[in-house]
Amino acid sequence: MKIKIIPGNGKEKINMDEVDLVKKSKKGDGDAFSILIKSYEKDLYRVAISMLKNDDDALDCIQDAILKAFEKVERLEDERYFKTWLIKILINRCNDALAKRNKIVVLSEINKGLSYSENTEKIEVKEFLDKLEEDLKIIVILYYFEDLSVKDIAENLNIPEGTVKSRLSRARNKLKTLMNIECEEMI
Amino acid sequence: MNNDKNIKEFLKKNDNLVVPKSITKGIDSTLYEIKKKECKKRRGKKTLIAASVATFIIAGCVYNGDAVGAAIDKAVTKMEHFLQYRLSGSNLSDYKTVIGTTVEKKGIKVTLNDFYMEDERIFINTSIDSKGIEDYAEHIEAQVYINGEKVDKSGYMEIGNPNYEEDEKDKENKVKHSMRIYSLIPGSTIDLKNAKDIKIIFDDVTATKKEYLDNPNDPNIKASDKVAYIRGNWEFSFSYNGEKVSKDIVEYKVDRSINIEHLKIHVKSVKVTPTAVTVKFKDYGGHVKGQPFFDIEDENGNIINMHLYRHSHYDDGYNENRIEMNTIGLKKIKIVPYIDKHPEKRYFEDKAVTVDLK
Repeated sequence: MKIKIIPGNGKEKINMDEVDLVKKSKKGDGDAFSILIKSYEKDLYRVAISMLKNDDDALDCIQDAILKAFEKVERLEDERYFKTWLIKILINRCNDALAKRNKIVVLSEINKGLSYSENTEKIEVKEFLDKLEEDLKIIVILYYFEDLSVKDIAENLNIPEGTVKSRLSRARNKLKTLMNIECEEMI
Repeated sequence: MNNDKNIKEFLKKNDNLVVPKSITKGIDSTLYEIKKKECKKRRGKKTLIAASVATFIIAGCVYNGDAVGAAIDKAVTKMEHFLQYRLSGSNLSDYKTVIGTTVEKKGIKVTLNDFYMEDERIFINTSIDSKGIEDYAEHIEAQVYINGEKVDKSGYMEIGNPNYEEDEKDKENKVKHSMRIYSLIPGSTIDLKNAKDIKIIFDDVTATKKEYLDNPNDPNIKASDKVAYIRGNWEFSFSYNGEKVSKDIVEYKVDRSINIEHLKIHVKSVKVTPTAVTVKFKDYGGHVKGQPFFDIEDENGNIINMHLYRHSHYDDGYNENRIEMNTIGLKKIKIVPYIDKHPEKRYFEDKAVTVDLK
């Protein structure tokens, strides 16, 4: 006799209210903090790998950021901004790591340019981001994926707000092209 | 800006970034360290907790050393040790299967101590002996097959030795005792009556590397030098009889509405298994002024909760609070609602729902 395993509908998610989890974390609840961090695992990786380009360094910085976040979460004033706060800690840690590397990140290997016309297959977002110029990529990630404001991005990357805006504008045009291609493929 | 909203939605919808396993494991390892440190701090609260431990509370810390005494001996290999059932004097002997056999591969000895299943969860208690390698093997992933069919799991909770000092001593001896409770994909169930043949394949060991063990505070040690991943095949097959537990898992229909402060709560049902009580409910009124949870009391008015997990919205809009506890031998439970609004919890004893257990 076979066991009966009825597949779930895939809609279920951990439903503990995030604010509640942050409050519990502030009281030192490691379980609540773990649930929060696990829910942002992808965000942490996306930011770290886009800044540091290799998994070892990315993991080092993510781990440091997690430890620092747990140590400092008690002082977080508004629980609603936990994610932004966490991402900022990570960016700072990545900036430190980049400074310590004391070398220029080679952009030419990553910046291969966009070649939509040559690619008739579906363009995936990750591949698109990988092909984006470095100065645009991190801004796209922080603005569109991590919901940081222009001001926050400017402060954390140590560049003027105007530069963030102009880079976002350039990125927007490229993103629109990508979105148009996606739409055409759907027809 | 509408454009931005569209772009954001498009990017998130088509996001295909995959987090590498090594990153996930590294993050897990960091969270594990945090929990260990957290529990070490809590040891200072022994007296405070001990007062309520008489009524069986774990406080949600898997490494909590407050509740257990010094005499551990071979009890450490029993799953009741991890569930801290010693405090209530009852055990899972009517339900679990004791294995106690060891398989050695790649210098790592894996002992499957005992095994237990409910309709939605699988409990696997292991000891890992890594004296045969340089690194310290701490975590092990299991694939479970029931009657030849692989079980789809959605996640797990790992419980380490509840006695912190013992856990540290085990580390020195390169032995790790722990138990994992795997959850099935929500909505999935195991047909316990017919689950006869069990095969467990442990295939992935996570070990702390010797370099890091020797110099844990060295800032120059890179992430890749902290953790090692060892693939292998430590396989166990045995028979299981789930008839008894199948009979003892009962879902009681409640269908009662309660008004507490700003909230209206509709308790639909209460499911009781030997290790947990799950309250299925819906609440109206918003969570700004506090969120509803439940404590469970026995017939003597003692709170018998262990650990609370609030999880899953189902299609019919109901939430579930699964409250870990030992229900063996209970005749009656009282479900006491409370509102958790940091930093205070307000209890409503007069609105409690009592369920007579069969």
